[in-house]
Amino acid sequence: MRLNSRERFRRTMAFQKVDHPPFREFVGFWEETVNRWYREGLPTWICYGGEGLGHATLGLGALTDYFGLEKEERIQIDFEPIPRFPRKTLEETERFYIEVDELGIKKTVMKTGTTVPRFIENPVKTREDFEKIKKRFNPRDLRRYPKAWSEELIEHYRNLGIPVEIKFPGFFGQGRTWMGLKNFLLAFFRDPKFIHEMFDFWADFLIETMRPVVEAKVLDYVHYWEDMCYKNGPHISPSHFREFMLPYYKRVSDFLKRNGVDVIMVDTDGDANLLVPLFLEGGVNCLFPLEVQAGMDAVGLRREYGQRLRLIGNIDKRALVEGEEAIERELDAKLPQLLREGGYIPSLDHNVPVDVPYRNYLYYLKLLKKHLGIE
Amino acid sequence: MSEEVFQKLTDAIVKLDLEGVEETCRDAIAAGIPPVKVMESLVRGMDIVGQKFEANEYFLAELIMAGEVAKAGLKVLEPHLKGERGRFLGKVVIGTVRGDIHDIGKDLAKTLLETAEFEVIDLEVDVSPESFVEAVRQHRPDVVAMSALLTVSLNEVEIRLRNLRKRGLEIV
Repeated sequence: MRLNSRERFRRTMAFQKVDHPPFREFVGFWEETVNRWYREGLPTWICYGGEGLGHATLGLGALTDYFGLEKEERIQIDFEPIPRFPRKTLEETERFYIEVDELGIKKTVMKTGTTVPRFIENPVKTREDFEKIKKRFNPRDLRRYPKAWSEELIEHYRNLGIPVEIKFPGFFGQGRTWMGLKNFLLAFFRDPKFIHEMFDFWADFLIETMRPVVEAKVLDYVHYWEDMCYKNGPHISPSHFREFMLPYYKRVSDFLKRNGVDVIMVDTDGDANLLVPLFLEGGVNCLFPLEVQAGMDAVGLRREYGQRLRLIGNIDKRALVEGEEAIERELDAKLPQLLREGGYIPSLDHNVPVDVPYRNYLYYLKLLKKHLGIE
Repeated sequence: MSEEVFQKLTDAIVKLDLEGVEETCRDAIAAGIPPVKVMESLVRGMDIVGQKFEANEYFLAELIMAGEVAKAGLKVLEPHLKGERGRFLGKVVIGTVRGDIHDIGKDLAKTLLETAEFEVIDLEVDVSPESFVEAVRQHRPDVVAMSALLTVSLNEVEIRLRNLRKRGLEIV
């Protein structure tokens, strides 16, 4: 049996036999990591776009190609405000600048050291702000779809040999973007009706925005970005999830499943263990990146949820910092069982961190290929 | 009577009742209950919230909300506490390390420490090793609390510890 990447992905996610499981780096690489690797032997002609890799349309595939990793095609549908907010720099010092970005978020960005900004102020502080920002989220705005969107492009996606997906912010992810983490979390207590209104709006927006691509039946999976957990667990309680998020997850999932989208995945860092049953109830059937240091355990999840839950990631990135023995231990402990059972795609449990030496990453790939039966 | 009020205050924190805590604090002061005693009830409430957090009954959202409720109670008490407040349990210098500007964890820790009657000197974010050392010299704290969200910032914590040790300060 010789499969292309798309067939391999579909069959893996359906727990069917494959020639070998997908060879992927699902989350990506920090820019600092790639810069380090250039100094340690990665050819400097390998270009890197700064985003997660694997998106053939963005031309970010050079590093992926160099490592021989498989790719995906992300259809670039715009789920952000249209028009964007004008980008403005409000203050600049030697170490940082303060700007308002295109999502309307005021933030401090360090010039050195970290790539993660500090959010100062978000665009939605009141219901009035929300009413105003809603006008920027018209799902029928033609600018949301690629300029090439046409029967011809749909046909191209249908015939691609790699998995085709779309990614969009989930309910928690978008609420946080609108309100900022602290104000958003407080709103669950201070104004629960407002949370329902936001999520209700967002569910409709997601469905109507993705309707053309979903009904074109070209998608292998959809991908919610939530990031709603940290190392001690979810940011909100399971009961809040049930009350505020579950109805809207169900609404979106029903629409997706009616249209033949079989794999609905959620990207959340941190410890999501307590939310897994709720995600499943909401129609989500795949989780990544399953961060080990936060207590996520793919083998345990498989034991508990069986074939109801597809899994991606869970290879402890810290093993790659440690060295060859640690990498061997990590892969030996997880891969034989998970790969045998299917419904699992191995990948590091987040971006490859900056303290991973290039030679260790190459060793990881070599060993991973062996487990996958590629070489 | 007082016991009933104390329980109501503790409950207001645990039930995350913002309006209830303000009202009960005002009633308690009006009834002549010493503000320090009122504050102790709030602290007891925060202890219970902490236990619930440990037991996975409360989550980050509840923890942040409880901090807001406690702050609202303290705001009512503050004008009445002057001169009456006993000694702080200790002094804490807090800040995020150089290169790290994420303050949500730092701010939460600060609120919890203040509610638990610690004096907190907040150096804010992106604090250099020299500023930490200077703050230690100036304020003589019992605890230096360094916050780092990013793993790449952990080296900065090491640098601060080295600097503090170099200057003969005990690190426990």
